[in-house]
Amino acid sequence: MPAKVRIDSSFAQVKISMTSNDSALPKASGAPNAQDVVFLIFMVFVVIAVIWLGRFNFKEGLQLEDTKRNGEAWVAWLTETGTKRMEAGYEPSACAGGVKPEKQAEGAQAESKAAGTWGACLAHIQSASELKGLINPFLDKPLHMVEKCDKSDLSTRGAISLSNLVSTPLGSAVPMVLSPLKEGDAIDGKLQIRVTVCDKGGYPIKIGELEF
Amino acid sequence: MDNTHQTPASSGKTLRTQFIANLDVAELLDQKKKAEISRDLPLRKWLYSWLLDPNIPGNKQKQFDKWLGILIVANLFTLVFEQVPAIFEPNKQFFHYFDVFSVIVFSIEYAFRFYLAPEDEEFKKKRNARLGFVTSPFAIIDLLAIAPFYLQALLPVDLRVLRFLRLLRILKLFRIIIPAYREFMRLNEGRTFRQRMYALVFPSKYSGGLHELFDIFIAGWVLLSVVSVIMESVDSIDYVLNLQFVVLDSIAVAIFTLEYVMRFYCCVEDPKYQGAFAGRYNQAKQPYTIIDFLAILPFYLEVFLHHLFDLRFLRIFRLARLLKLTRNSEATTVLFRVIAREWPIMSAASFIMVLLLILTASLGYLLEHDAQPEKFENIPQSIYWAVITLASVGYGDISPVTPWGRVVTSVLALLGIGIFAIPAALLASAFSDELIKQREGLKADLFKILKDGKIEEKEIQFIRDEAKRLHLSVAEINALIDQVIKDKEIEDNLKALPIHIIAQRPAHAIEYFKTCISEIRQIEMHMTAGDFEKTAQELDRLTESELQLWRQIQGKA
Repeated sequence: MPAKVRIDSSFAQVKISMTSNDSALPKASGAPNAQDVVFLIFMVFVVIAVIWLGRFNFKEGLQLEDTKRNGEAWVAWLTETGTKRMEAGYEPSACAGGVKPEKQAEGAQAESKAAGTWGACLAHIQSASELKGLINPFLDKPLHMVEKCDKSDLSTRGAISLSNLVSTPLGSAVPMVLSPLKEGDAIDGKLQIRVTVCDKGGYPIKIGELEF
Repeated sequence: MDNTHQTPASSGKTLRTQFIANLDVAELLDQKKKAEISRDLPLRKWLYSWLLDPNIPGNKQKQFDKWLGILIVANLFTLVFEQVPAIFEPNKQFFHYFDVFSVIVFSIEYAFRFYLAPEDEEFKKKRNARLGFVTSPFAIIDLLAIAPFYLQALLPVDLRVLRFLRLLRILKLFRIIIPAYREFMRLNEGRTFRQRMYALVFPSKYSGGLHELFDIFIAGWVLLSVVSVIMESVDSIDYVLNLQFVVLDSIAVAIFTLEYVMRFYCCVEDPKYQGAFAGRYNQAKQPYTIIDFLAILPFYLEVFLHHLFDLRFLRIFRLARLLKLTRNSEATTVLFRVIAREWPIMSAASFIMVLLLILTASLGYLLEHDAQPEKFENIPQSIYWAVITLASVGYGDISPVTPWGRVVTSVLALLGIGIFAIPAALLASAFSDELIKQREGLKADLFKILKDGKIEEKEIQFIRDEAKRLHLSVAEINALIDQVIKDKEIEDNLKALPIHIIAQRPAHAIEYFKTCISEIRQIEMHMTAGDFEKTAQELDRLTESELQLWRQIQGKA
């Protein structure tokens, strides 16, 4: 019978454990018995299960990386376009600067694809630019734009969101306010844009800010 | 080697002077182990004895292995970071210099081992010791660790192949693992598979160095995992390393899950947890096992339920993994024990605190609501104000404006100092009592050890373990031994005297009283907790006042 040992054992008890008759026990080979084999199989199963679950996380991690690459592609394209679009005769004209959008009659529905608006430029980007083939890795569909990432709406995951950074008047508590870039917004002048992508939970990840 | 320290067991005074003169406590506690290596040895033998001989205690072999181990692990990290362009590209130079430094160190190590091979027991018997070394598995691993570096200077080698070959450096750790494994197998000869597993994951006399390596491995992963959780919260770092964090977390969870399952399976080897179901159920209820479970739970919950709920908040609970480190800390165990023991008193103090809080919050609401309806809108809001005031934090966002409100706040602030101090004072005093009790216990054990006039190897080990457990320095152990010898002298002298003679001198009476108290305390320590009081109460063996006195002596009243 094994000697009784307490964690806070005094020396007397330590002595008991040291003099316990271990040698009287039958010698074991140390090889696993049937019970141990069952346990080892269970351990292997646990390892496989964790690897399998880890694979899911890894896959989602890769999808997030692809989403970030999409955002970076947008940042690169908008930055490059932003440096040239104010030049005279810039092509594509849909994204050219200095074009005043047509004034809409009061109360009429704003023409979102009218020249000089973000809608026209977006239509060009999604149909003719190198960004047109980008895929939303979470939904496996063409990349779509959302006004903002929403954790309660999982259809926003993997999407891209562009916001317009607008300076506030002098003396305001915050120097800039963010407003979603809408299709009807004029792009005749320079814009400060923030590019954000939505992660797997619909949380925003800031990719970058640029001058367009 | 003589494994006993002889001390004369005769009279107290002789015992004391001889004992202190003969016994080197620093050596006893393994803190002053200096290798005895003659300077007259030939250079090769001398170098081998200092650097590589594992059989000379106190030489530099352990430090040598330890620093090499750290360098190997650092190499593994750099190899991982090299895969991340955002880290590698701006720090290319640093990575290169670190690689050069590592290769220099490993090459010097290889050269040393090659030169000193004829002194090594393993190779000296061979016809050509150095050839024997070069063809040994460890030497081949050592060579593989440095060869790619030299290879790339001579041949155009693909960078990916080079990196893979550099990964082989991790195999160098086998130089540390294999001796520990051999020692473990020797200690566990003739024991079952489950007993061996128990010795690996729980500390026991069969554990040896392999258990220490196991603990270091787990602690390393705990730290790595906690650092990654903290770094994940930094957006700029998470942006670059998100995928690496995902992989790291999965590996950490796999390791912690296996550890948890192993502990669960083999815990029945502990006499406290016998019984396939009952034992494991009892083990599952232990705080450390609960901590182990909480360390892995967030991962599984998030994987299985993330489609249903937003469980991102659970990630922060991965920081609970840090609590896993408390398993190896005796001080934390003592603290938990003290909290458990003092729980009734602490809960009483907490109850008074809550009572005071609700009363004052209600008073605050009553007195201030009319003057500041937006700040003291209701009693729950007033409770916030009361807590901030009682805890002496005083943010100032809510403050009284009416004269009576200010009076109540003043009283509350003064009371707060006392009320919040009570649990802290209780804990501090209970902690101190526990330490005193444990030191008293050690004193009693030292007393027994010294009684026969010699200290055996297992007694040295016991003193060493206790000194480590109670965080005692050499000076403190010396003071305890001194105290024990002094007590022994007094006891020997006083026991020889009748009570009425002792009573004639107050100093003797006090010493006699202290001896009696110490002996009563020792009774409690040698008994199962609570047995004394239970028996005394069940059979009315002690009066209430006698029981109260017992409790006071044990520091419970």
